[in-house]
This record gives sequence, structure tokens and C-alpha cells, in this order.
Amino acid sequence: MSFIKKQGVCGWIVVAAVILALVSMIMYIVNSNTGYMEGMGMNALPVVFTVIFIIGAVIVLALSDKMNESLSGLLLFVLALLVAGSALVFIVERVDVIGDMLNPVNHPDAQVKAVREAIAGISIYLVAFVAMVIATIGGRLAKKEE
Amino acid sequence: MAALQVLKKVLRGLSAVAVFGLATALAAGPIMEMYANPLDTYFGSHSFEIVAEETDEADWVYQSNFKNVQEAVNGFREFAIRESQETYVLLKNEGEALPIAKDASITLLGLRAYVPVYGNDMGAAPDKAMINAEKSHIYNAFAERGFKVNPTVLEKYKGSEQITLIEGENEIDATATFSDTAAAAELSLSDLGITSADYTGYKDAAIVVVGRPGGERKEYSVGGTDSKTGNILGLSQAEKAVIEEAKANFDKVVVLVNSTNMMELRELEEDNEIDAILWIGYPGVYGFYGVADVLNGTVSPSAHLGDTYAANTAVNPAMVSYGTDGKNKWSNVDEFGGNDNTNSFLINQEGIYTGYRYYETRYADVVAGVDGAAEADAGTYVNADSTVATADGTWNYANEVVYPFGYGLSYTEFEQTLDSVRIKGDKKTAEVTVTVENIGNTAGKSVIQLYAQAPYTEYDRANGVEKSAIQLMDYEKTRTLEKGDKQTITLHVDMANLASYDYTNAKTYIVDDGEYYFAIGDDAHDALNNILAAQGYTSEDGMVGTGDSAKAHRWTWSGSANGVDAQTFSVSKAEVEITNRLSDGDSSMDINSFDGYANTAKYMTRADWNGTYPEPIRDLEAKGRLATLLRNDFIEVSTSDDVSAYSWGVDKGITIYEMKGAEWNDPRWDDFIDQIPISEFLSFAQSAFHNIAGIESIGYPGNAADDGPGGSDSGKMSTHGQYQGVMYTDMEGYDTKYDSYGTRIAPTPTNLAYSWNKELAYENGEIILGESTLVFNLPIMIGPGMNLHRHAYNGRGGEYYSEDPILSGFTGSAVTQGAQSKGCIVNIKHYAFNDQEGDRSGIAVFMNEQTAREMELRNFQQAFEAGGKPASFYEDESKSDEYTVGALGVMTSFNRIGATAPSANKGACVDILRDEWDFNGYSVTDFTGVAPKAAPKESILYNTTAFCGFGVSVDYWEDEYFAHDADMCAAIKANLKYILYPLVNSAAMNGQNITSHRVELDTPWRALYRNMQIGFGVATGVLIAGWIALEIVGAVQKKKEVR
Repeated sequence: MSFIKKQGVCGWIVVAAVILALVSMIMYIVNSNTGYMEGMGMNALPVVFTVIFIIGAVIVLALSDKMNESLSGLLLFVLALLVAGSALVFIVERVDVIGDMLNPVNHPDAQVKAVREAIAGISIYLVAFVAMVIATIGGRLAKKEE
Repeated sequence: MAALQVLKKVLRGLSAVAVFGLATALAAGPIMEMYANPLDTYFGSHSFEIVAEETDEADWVYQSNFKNVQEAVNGFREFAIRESQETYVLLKNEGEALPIAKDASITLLGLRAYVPVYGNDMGAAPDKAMINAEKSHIYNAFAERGFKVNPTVLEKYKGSEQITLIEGENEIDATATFSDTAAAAELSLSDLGITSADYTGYKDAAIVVVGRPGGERKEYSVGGTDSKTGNILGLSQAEKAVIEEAKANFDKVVVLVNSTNMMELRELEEDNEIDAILWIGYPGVYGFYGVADVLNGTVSPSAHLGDTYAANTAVNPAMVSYGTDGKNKWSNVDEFGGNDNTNSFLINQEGIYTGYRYYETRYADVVAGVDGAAEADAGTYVNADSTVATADGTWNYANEVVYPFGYGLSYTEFEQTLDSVRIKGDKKTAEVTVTVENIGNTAGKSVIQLYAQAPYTEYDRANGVEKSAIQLMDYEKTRTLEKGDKQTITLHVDMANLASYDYTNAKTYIVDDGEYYFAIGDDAHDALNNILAAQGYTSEDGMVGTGDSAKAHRWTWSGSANGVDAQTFSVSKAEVEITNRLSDGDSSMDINSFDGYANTAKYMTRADWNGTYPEPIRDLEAKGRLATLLRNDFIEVSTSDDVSAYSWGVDKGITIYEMKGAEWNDPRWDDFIDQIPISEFLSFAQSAFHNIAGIESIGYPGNAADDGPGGSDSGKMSTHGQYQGVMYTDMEGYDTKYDSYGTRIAPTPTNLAYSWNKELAYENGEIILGESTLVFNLPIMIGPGMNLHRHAYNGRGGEYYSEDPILSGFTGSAVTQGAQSKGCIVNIKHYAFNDQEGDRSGIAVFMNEQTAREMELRNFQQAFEAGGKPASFYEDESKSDEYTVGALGVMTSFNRIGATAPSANKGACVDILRDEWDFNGYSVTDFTGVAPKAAPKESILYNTTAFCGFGVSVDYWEDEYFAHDADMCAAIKANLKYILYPLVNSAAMNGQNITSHRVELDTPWRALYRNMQIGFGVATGVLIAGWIALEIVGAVQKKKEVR
């Protein structure tokens, strides 16, 4: 079976998580290097985690019909944690700038924009994580052979 | 088997969730600890307390007036109303229209009569919820004071959808859009369904309220409206329609001006059918009680304008460089990155000629017949109808100014007599005695305004030294004088405020030989007329108004070498030589001094008013050294200096509590500070807003701090109210009621300045800032705001005092002294030159050093040198300790000083502030975080002690980076003393003694993250164990099946 035809519901959920994580990662990179956050340095961990997640997810999806359920479940669990890790580091990296909003004055428009972008990026990572949790519970990525 | 499979999958998925939850909870712990103070504020908790083993009353150095919540709420309210009564300026009162009867039946008209601006947005904003809780809205306050307020009109306003919209969006927060007419919003009476029949029974007077909101990060644009001048500070057609309706239906029309931005009032002043005008500024939570008290004559108005009210606010030299529409951007701004924080420039070519210094000086020259003084090019002067002239013509004071600086009427009359003037032998001080007699029929207070005139000499013309024809030197306010009552007051004048700064030749303060005048007057124009009369001028010379030469005193300054005394004021009170600090080099504020910028700025001179009237500077490119400075990274930090003289982290066994009350010269300071490692200084410096970080090595636990000039931002009686370390105990049953009760209650700072009452300002400092410190345990309060009103268009002007450095400086100094008497560390802001909000973060402000020193800096100087001591304090032994120490805290600005970040300008921050003025206190940036835009390493070197906000975004913020540079080491040692000296002498040490130590307390938010850690930890373990167990079970069963 082809890569596309063999994917079951959980497989497509993982594909969705990959797309969401990719979008989040791009948002993280853009958010870290433009506007208010420009020049403040970027923690590479979310990018590393997400890249490993995407590669791992593609491999798991490609080999889904050759893996037993326990192995694919374990790998999905690990992949879910990679997404979670990306989201968590993203959150920790933005605590200062978001926390500064507790200061009732003195946040420029660029900061507000940066915070909104960060919240959007983090939210998408979290949706990707939820998708991976669902896939982890589902376990079987490939369709059952007829 | 299938059920086990399902369970295993569910456990696997939930394990992922649990691991994520555990990681989040583990990360949340330290993060929440970092934000302990805001979380405490939110949860109403206390995360630590300082415990002393044995305390006695003497440990409480600073005593609150309020021992319980009832006393506190009543005390703050009483002061706010009393202050407000003295802050409203009666501008017009034809036929003694005011006061009106206490039980008069009145009709309120105008949007602002129902949605008034109670306070400046943000830094001095009163709490809307508190106004609602106290029911102190304008109409309620008026009714409570006895007025019968027209209920029909009130209901029609209240029922309007537009009012609901505006009230919801704009009432207290004043978030109106400043560039359009929303800020000048007004409703049509016909749209509201209000007809003349609705006024029946409430026609004793129409009270029309017009206003403009103001606030931080807000400012007005010029032109584009339907007012007479086209300016938003003029009355809109809709506002005038309401006024016309009032005139058509009422015999008595009173207009209240609800704005701290100087509105254009010519039409009201000239309108015979407008009986009275009362400027009310922003009255605060309780201030409309005070408005009612003035309207009904309970108190006679005694305030005076602290700004010039011009006919056309857009036509004056300072406005030439004002701009928020990008016209002052650096032409190559795109070459700068985000961290450079570079946008615009602001070049004050008008020099010292802002406010009355411009209008009155040019007027004096016109009267004196100075060649060309009256000639004016199109666009630079105002027609009789307040519109800008479109052809070359004649400058006419009467057309330009509606109400001069210092103007204000009373319900009674006073006669002021200039009894004597005594210049002390060293010429550094003078004593001026004035007697005031109430010759009217009503009790009231009178303001003595003492002005001076210095000669404008050939030396001045040759060296670019400008002189104002009139300048405020000092002021005092009498007690309430009954009819026929007299009071004699001696003003103690600091003659240094008369000296002029010569930045081109003498490079210090000078006094020219020649004839000088002191004059009293009802306002600046009146005082100038008194001097002109003494000089022999009359109405035939073009005087506007008359003068009384008996109210002017002439004396001569003589005997100086070459006719110029460059010695007497060349040394500061701290005995430091005063010389150019802002005229060349990196600290320069004179753009002409930078390579490639010669003659860029052409400073205005009274020697040629018309010829030097400023022209806009456009298309300026940032280049050379100036461009380097704009990038905020301009000093090298050594890696190899001999730093053996500096010890860090050496335990000497001295805690901060042992240093409680230590004098600046205490011999223990060096040992005490040697205990602190650089890393702890950096940790402290990087986090300084609502939570001032601790310094572990000396046992300093950290403190709370709060914004701002109008009282505490976040402190509430229900969650923070306390007396001597014990939360108020009479809160039971009232905690909900006091949820909204804070201390942002008083009229806005501009109102306070307009009271011209130093004692009242001192009391404002004691209560609004000082009692906020004691009641809410906030040793650091970020205020007062002391930037000058350079023009009428700064939306944040209400947070500042006045256009004049003496009125502003003495008011701020009094507030500072009052606050410090309660142990409050003030943070006077924004040092310096924050006179527009547009592009405020990064705008480069340039001017010559005379302008800098005689205007904005002379103003700040009063607070740091404890200037302006009230006359009554000289006579009161109980006040002998007051005005002995200047301000012990400052907050730098967002705008640049010259080309450098404000905290990185050595001339302003070290040479002038620390050295000349002997400032030994805490200096915090307004920038959020240790960010490149704050030039952190430069700021540390130039004695910035902390950075507002959170977070570090430079890569060098570690002890090793600073530890090998001797200058940096010296600066950090100095900075630590600048931090700790005010702290050990503040309310931060209140109730503490040598046994004090920090004890952590449990809080709801600590319980939250701790329980999350435990919960998710257990869940993670159980779920993963279950999952693994089921995997094993499944594998075993599968194996069995295979067999």
C-alpha cells in the first residue's frame, strides 16, 4: 500500500499534528527573531524537538504497517512528549515578556504583538500535543489490512 | 483481552498528559516565585514576612496616621476633598455669578457633565470601581452637597446609548482616540431628546462641562477639527451648540473646564453670556465634592494657572518641532534594528522660550520698542479671532494670550504689599517680605507670586545667553484670611534660580551686572507690567493692562569682572564645580556639537524674534558618532584591569538590619557592601518593578514597589491594608466593600501644582505617596512625575505639574519631602525631558545646555536639592528636619537624552545628578527589562541601580563580564550603596531590628504549584506503571496464545 492509502485515522491525526507543529515552530522562529523579540536570542530546543518530532513522525508513519502496536504506541508517546517539550520551552521562554504585561504600564505595541504571536504559537503547539495524545491512545496508525 | 488493550492505550495517552503536566508544574514553581509579588497582589496573599524576635515601638520609625481601615479610608477621603478645594481656578466671574446658592436648582449639560474625566489615564488614574462604590460621580457629589440636580436631563443623558458607549470605553480610562474628535466628543441635545421644557424648575444655573481626556502613551494631534482654530483643544461645534443652548435657556451659565491639556478658551472668555468659567482639571475620586464646595461658596477659589492659556495652542515656537506623524523621523531610520530603539529626533530650537517665557518676554520687548520684536511672519502669530495669521504682520500679546501664567480669581479681594527685599551679603539668597490683606467681604486664601527680571545685556547677545523678561522665583500661599485679616510672609529666595547658564563662553552660571527687579503680581503678566511701570512704560507704549510700580523692587548687581559674575553660582550646593556637561562629547544634548551637524539647530533669540522663530528640521540623517550612540552600545568593558582593590562576596557578618538608619558616612558601608557578589547585584538590578528583588548575602528580603504619582496602582485596603505589620482587623464584614478602595483618589498632579500651596503639596506627599507606603507596605513608590509642560499637546501632561521649573520644582520637592517623611523612597520621573509621548521610547531629544539647565533640570534640581522650603517651615521648629535631604530615588525616561539612552547619559546621570546635586539614591530605568535599548552596561557604569520590568536580553549579564573592568567594579560598588542607603533609611526597615529575618509563608499560589507537582508526579508514576504492567500482561498473554 502507498504511504497515503495505508494511513488510518490515527495516522492522519499524526499528520495533522506534524503540520501544526511545523506551523508552531515557524511561528516560534519568527516570533523569536523579529519585532520586539529581535536580537534577544533564541532557545534552539523547541526547534530541535520539533524537527526530531517531524522526522520521527514521518518514520513512524512510513513504517506503521511494519510495527506492532506496542512499539508504535511507545514511539507515539515519545513523539507526543517532544511536542509537549517544544510547547513547554516556548512557554518558559516567553514568561518574561508575558509576565511583564503584569506591569500595568510601559508595554509598547510591539510587545503586545509579540505576546499575541507567542500565545498563538503556543496554542497551536498545544493543539498538536492534544492530537498526539489522541493518536497515542488510538495506537494503530495504519489501516487494518483487509 | 480487548478491554485490557483499550485500558493500556488510555493509560499510555494519559501518561503523556501526566508527564506534560508534571513538567509544567515543575517549571511553574520557580516562575511563580519570580512573580511572587504580582501573584500575592492577585491572590491577596503574603508570600513572606520579616520576623523580628523582640520589637518595641522605637523600631517603628515611620508612623502611619491610620490604625484601621476606617481611619485610612476616611483620612484619604478627607485629604482628597480638602486638596481638591484648593486646586480649581476661577477664570471668569462676571457680576459675581459665583458662588451660587447651596441649594440651587441646577441643570448639568454636556457630555463631560455625565462622563467627566476623573483622572489621567494609567499613572494617576483613579479607580472607576471606587468612584462607583463611593457614588462620588459628579452629579451625586453635587446632589450630596445640596444642589438640586435636574433629574430629567440627567436621565436622558444616562439613557443615551452613546453615553453608555463612551462611559464604557472612556469614562475613567480616558482611552479616547486623540487624533480625532472622539476626545472632544459631545452629544446633541436634540438627539438626546432634551427640550427647553426639561429645564423647568432647574434654572438657577446651567453648569456646562467641557473637557479633554489625557493619559500615558496618549497625545493630541494638531488641527483637523471643526473648532475655531482647527485644534482639538479648541471648542468643537458640538460643544458650542450645547453652550448656546445653555445661553438661550438660562440666565446664569457656568462652564467647567475638565482638562489638564490647556484648552483654547478665548470664545468663552469673550462671551458676555458666559457668566463664569472654572478650571477643574481632573478632580479624582472625590474631587467633585470640592467643585461643589467652590461653586456654592463653602470655600473661595484660591488656585492659579500653572500654565499659559494661549488663544491658539498650536502657534508658538515649541510647537514647530512637535510631531507624531513621522515628520521628525531620522531619514535613515530603516538602517537601525529593533534593539537600537531609534525612531525620531526632537530639537528644541525655541530654547528657554516656552510658555510664559515666550509670550511675556516678546511682549516686554514690544512694549520696550525693541527693533523687530513685533514683526511676525505668516504662520508665526495669531489673529484677533485666534486663528493663525496667513500674512506677515504684527505680533500682539492681546491676541496671543487668553489667561496668563499664574492667573486666578477669588470671591474676595486681596491687597498685597511688597514690604521689603533684602539681598544677603553673598548674594546667594534673598528675603522678600510681603503683606497680604483681605479687603473683600469673603474669607479666602491668597497666593503671593514673586517674579524677577534680569537684564538682557550685550554680553548675553554676543554669547547666546537668553533671558526671560519675567521668571517665577518663589511663591507662598496665605492661611485663610477672614475679611480685614492680614498676614505677613517672608519668602526665602534661592538666587541661584535667577542665574543664567552660559554654555558658550563662561561655561557655567553667570549673573550680568545691571539692573534687576523683583515684583509681585496677580500673575506673570501682571508682575511684568509692574516692572514695566517701574521702568516708566505706560499703556501708550502698548502695555496690555496696567502696572503698579510699588509692587516692583529694583536693585543692582555690580562689581563683577568684565561686567559678568561667573563665580557666585559656578559651584553647586554640594560644592562641585558647575561647567558644561551637555554641550559636547557623547553626553551632548546640543546637536550642533556632533561632527557633521554644525548649525543644524538655530536657537531662538530675543535679539531677533522673527528672524530666529524656529523652522522645522526635516530629513536629518543619523550618522557618525551620533549614529553609534543611537545603537546603545558605545563603551568597551575591559577584561584585564587590575581589580584587586575590589572584594566581592566576603562574609563580614553584617545584615541589612544592622545597617538600619545608617548615615551616608557610616564607616561600615565598605565592609557591608563587600559581602555582596556581583551576581547578586545583577540579579537585583534586573528585576525592579512591582517586586524589588532581594540580596541574599546581606539578608535583604526584597520589597514591593508600586506606581505611581497619584497613589498606589495595585494596593487595596481589603488585601493590603495594615498598621505596623498587622493587617487591618476591622475589615470583617467590609472586605468586599474595600476591594476597590485604594489610594489613587486625589486630583491629578497638575491640579496640585495649580494650588500654589507648598504645604498642601507636602501633605499630598505625606498621604498619597507616604501613607500608600505605610498602609500597603510599599517602600518604593514610582512618583512624583516632574516633567515640564513644554506645550499643550502632551496627553500625559496631567501627570506632571506645570510649564514653569519653579512651580513644578517646588511642588515636586514638597511632595518628595512629604513622602520621605513617611519612609517612602520616591522615584521622581522621568529624568529627563519627556515632553511628548509619541515615539517616546527612543526619541532623541536635543537642546542647548542653557535650555536644559534652566528649564527641565532646574525643575528636577529642586527635588534633589530639597529646594522650595515653605516659609511656614522656617518658623516651625517641628519641621527643622524637613528639607535637609533631597530626593532619594529617580526613574529615568524612555526618551533619549541627546543621542544616548537616558540612563546612559553620563553628563545628566553622573556629572549633574550624582555630583552637582549630590544625589545618593536609587535610580531605576523605565525600560522594561535589561534590554539593549536600555544600554545596560553603559547604564550600570553611569550609576543606574536597577532596570524596571523583567528579563534579561543581553548576553553579557554575568559577573565575569563586569568583574575585570575596574571602572565597572567601582560603579557597581557605588550603585550598591546608592541602592542600600535609601533602603536602610526607609520604611523597608520599619518595625525591624537586628534580629529580623525573612520567613516564607504558604500562599494559595504556592499550594497550587506544589499540589500540581505532587498530583502530576503521582499520576505520572501510576499511569506509566499501569501502562507498563499492561504491556507486560499483554506480551505474556500473546506469548501464551502463540504457544
